[in-house]
Formats: sequence, structure tokens, C-alpha cells
Amino acid sequence: MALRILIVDDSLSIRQVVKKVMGQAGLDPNQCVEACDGREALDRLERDRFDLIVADLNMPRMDGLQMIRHIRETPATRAVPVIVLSAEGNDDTIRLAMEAGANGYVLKPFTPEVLASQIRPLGLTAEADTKTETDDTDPSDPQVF
Amino acid sequence: MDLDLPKLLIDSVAEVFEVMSFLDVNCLPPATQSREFRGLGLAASVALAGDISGVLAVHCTEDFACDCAKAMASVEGSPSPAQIADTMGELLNMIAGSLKRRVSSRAGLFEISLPSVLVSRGHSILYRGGKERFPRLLIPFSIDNSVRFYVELLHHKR
Repeated sequence: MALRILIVDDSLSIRQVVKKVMGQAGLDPNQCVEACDGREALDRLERDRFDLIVADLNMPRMDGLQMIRHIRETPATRAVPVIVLSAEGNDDTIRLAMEAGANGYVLKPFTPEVLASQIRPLGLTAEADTKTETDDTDPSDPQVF
Repeated sequence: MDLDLPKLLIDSVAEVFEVMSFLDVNCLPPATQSREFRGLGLAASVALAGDISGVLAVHCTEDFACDCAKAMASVEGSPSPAQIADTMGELLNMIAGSLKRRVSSRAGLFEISLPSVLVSRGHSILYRGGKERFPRLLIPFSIDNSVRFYVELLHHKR
């Protein structure tokens, strides 16, 4: 079954860039679904299965922190990895995101390589179960770039 | 601690344009402007609140904004007006975030509003409080020796 990615950002431009990076990271950009804010993302998650969420923090209606907490409290979505992609980079904000349940944190502006490097250790390539023996990174280890 | 805000802002602008739009920008000498600044066609702005408060804005032509949108999305076709506005708002959001990171270790924290974008030829922006309360810093940026956009900062340190 194809891996499905939910991209949550109020910026159309960022959603497009992230979609492109997903392709570069070996995932299928056609399996990316976009949401403009946390509320829309939760609506999508109620209706669909996703394998990865890439989310901004500062968004209208519902911000990223609220959204991550809700995802972690919901049995059906509790295990879905969430990578935060935000221009907010102070220590308190990063700590709050990690405590809420984020699996990684990428600062904007970002290069495709940095975002892809956060996704690869999650083992979500198109041949999903191809995690190599040399890749000893624990997907549950939060990383900040 | 003495805060070289113009330098931190210039570094933030250069970082964001280089990483996200692949554009090598150079700044020209900043000026503290007291006169009204006549808009170039597109203005993106965010409000800052906290230890530093005020307004941060980018002013450019719609053509330059279109170039940025194409570069950021790596597309050849014409981006929509909504995408052009969105790109400049997001670039400014990243500039503000980068500035916040650089400032926070030196002068405390501030919060950043969601960006707003105005597209209108010949507009001018007047800020409540005026220049007495918010000194105005206007920094021109060039690409290939041609001025392409301005970054404006009106700020007040607590």
C-alpha cells in the first residue's frame, strides 16, 4: 500500500516545496494530501490513513502544538510520526513541540536535504520495509535541525 | 548588551533568500527614514510584540515577487496571484523567525503575527504611533547590482 503523507501549513508555497522534497526522499508526491491548518488536518485524519505528517506550528484556527497533542491523544493516530517544520526556533518552542509528541523539528528556512534527513530514519521509503542494518537510528529519537 | 539590529536583520534576509529562493542578495547602506515610503506594488508585513515590538515588512514589485515564487517552487509557468502573495508572506515569516532566533540570545523574545500581504500600486503605509515611537529602518537589497526589494523595520525595544 502506498505511503500517505499529510502536509499541514498555511502557506501554499511551503506545501509545494515539501511535496517536492517528499519525491526527493523516495516517497510518492501524488500520495501527499495538503491541509491549511490544524483543524483541517484533524478532519483529514478522521477520514483517511496517513503514514507521516509534516506540520507547521503557527497557523490560523488551530496551531501545530494543539494539533500534535490531539493526534497523540487519539488512538487511531497516536503512532503517526510528526515532523515539525517551523520558522519558530527558540528553545522553549522546540521543547514544547517535542513534549507534545513531535518526532523531529526542522527550522525554516530549510534545504531539501535537511528535511529529507529527518524523514529517512523513519523508514518510510517507497519500499517501506527496506530499513538497512547499518541504519541504527531509532525513529522515536527526536532530532532538531 | 548592544544590539546591532540592522546586521542581524541583513543576515536573516540573506539566509532566507539564499536557502529558499536560491537568490544571492546584497544589501545597500540602511537608512533611518523619516519620510513616507511609497510602496512598490507589493508589501508583506508581520507585527512583532514582546521585548521588541513593531512591524517588519518587505516591499517589492509584483514582478520580483513572481520571480521569487517561481524560484521557490522551482516552476517555469506563471504562479497565481495568490501564490505570489503567499510566497512573499512566507519569506517574510521566515525572515522574522530567523531574526527572532538571532535576537533572542541578546535582547529577549518577541512574538510574530501571521503575515499579511498588500498588493496595490502606489500605496503608502502609515503606522500608528509614528516615527517618534518607532524609529524606521529601511534597507534596500540588490541582486546583480539592481535594487529589487526593501526590508523595513519599525521597532521599539522594551
